[in-house]
Amino acid sequence: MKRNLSSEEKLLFDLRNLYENFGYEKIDMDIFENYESYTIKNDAIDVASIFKIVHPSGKIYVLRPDMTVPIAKKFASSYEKRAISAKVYYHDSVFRMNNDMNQDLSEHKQVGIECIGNNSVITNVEIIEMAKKSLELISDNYIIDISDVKFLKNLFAEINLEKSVEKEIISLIEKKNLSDLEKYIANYDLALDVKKVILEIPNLYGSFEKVIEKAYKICLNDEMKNAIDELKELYEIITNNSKNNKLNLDFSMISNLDYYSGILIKGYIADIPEAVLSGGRYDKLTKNYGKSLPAIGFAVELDQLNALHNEDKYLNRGIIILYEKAKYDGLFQKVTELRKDNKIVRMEEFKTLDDNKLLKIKKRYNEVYLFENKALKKL
Amino acid sequence: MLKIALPKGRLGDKTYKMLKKIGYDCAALEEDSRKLVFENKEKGLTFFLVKPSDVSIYVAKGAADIGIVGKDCLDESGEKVYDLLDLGFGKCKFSIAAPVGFVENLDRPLVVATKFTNFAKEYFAKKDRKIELIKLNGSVELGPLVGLSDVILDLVETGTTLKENNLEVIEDCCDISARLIANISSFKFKNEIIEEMVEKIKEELKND
Repeated sequence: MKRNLSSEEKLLFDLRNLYENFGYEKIDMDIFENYESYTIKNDAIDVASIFKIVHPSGKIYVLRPDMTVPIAKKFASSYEKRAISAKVYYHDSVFRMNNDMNQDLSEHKQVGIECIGNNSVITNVEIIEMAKKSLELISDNYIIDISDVKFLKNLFAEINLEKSVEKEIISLIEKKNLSDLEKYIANYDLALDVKKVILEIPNLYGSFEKVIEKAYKICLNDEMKNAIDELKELYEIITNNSKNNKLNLDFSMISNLDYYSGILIKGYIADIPEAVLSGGRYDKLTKNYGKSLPAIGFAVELDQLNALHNEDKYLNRGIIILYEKAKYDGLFQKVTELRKDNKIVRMEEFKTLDDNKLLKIKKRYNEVYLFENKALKKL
Repeated sequence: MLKIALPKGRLGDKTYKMLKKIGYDCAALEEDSRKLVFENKEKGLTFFLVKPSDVSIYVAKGAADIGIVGKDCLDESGEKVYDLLDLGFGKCKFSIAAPVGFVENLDRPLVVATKFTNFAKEYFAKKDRKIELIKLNGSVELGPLVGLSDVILDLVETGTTLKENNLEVIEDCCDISARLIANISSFKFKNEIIEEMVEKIKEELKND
């Protein structure tokens, strides 16, 4: 096509090229999923926000609220036949019910990748590299935050707390709410050193080197130390093999401790209020669908980027030919001839043409022609 | 440029006084005008005057980088923001109040009148108590007085309003105070200036 891509289309084109560059293959999934897929011990998504459809047979389907579950299901069942791990990317919509004001259904366009079958640190490095490059395609002003749920999981393993208490502590840490966190854990019989560590977590963020150093100092057991060792190894591989690394660690970024099993990734763009990229390692998911496979991926929320694509993509669209219905003799030949070089040529029938209409048309199209007397007259 | 959402009213005034003391001032704000946006270009500050229950939304959507809001409005809004500092003022409580001598009938749902429906729903759900919720927008104390509700869930400061209306607190739900909140993305990109402000406020609060 001879027209210029809008910035939105260009980004999609570049992101797809990037994932193809890394050897990922495009995958398309069904919009409808089984409701059970999202209720089998899958805490990733709040079931209340999923749009359910009751089939006349009584079976319940959903409009997919994410791409990861359908993809994980697909490869859990077909993995035996594969010689290599599955590396796929998608560009598709997911559907959620909004829990504010109206219970309206909303569609969210996403682009993302999944790598299933591999849990080596090299894969983790590759995913982070792809996340970094994805953000670079969107803006130079980005930040990537990394975490690892194993650090916190093994901190909580030191204490025997009810799920609801754990949840509340996580919620307070995620909000970096130190004052309420302190008051809350004072109510429970926790060892002093454990309390101290919990209070360190909200501020455990910053540059990789700085945070790793701090994190080592507060490890309470070997498993926590192993989690930091892994992050250290990850960081060393990344810094030895690429320059310009704006990577941060943020242990207050917890997401879902039950769903994720290892590293977490979140990407931010300046002036966009929420994370535009989000993902991590979720080794336990596929077990729900028949076969236990390590898996990692991330999604880019394209809707968050609307503020960046605010040029009007319908200006300067090519050629428009205005004709009157009765006077079409010779019209098609002229139009076909113009369309030869893949130009944009649009026909529009009119009854009356006033200045106002003409002005609006001229704004939209580069060239405006009137077909009359078997010839094109430029307006 | 740091964008700060200030709540209109007592809380905003008190907060601005403190901010001015530690160097975050804005002459335009001190003038008597109907403006809502105030800039101090030299210091890179922009203040907005916002309805208290709206501060959380401005911050969550990134229209403001940071804001000052009561924990009551913050919790009620349910917005995802960082709650960086308890400012220690604007102290009051979320409490349940009922007419003096009220006896709860546990066999039927408790009829609760409140402005804070989200908080009430969550609070009673945690207690596993069935309720019938009536959303009122003001003068909530009237509810039980005219038979509209059994009890109210409301902010209680001195308790004078309750007393004057022959109501009494039957349960305290939680403490409320003013909070400094920050947009998650802004906190990462403007980290130094935000942390600096938090430290300065902490120092000032200690000295008070």
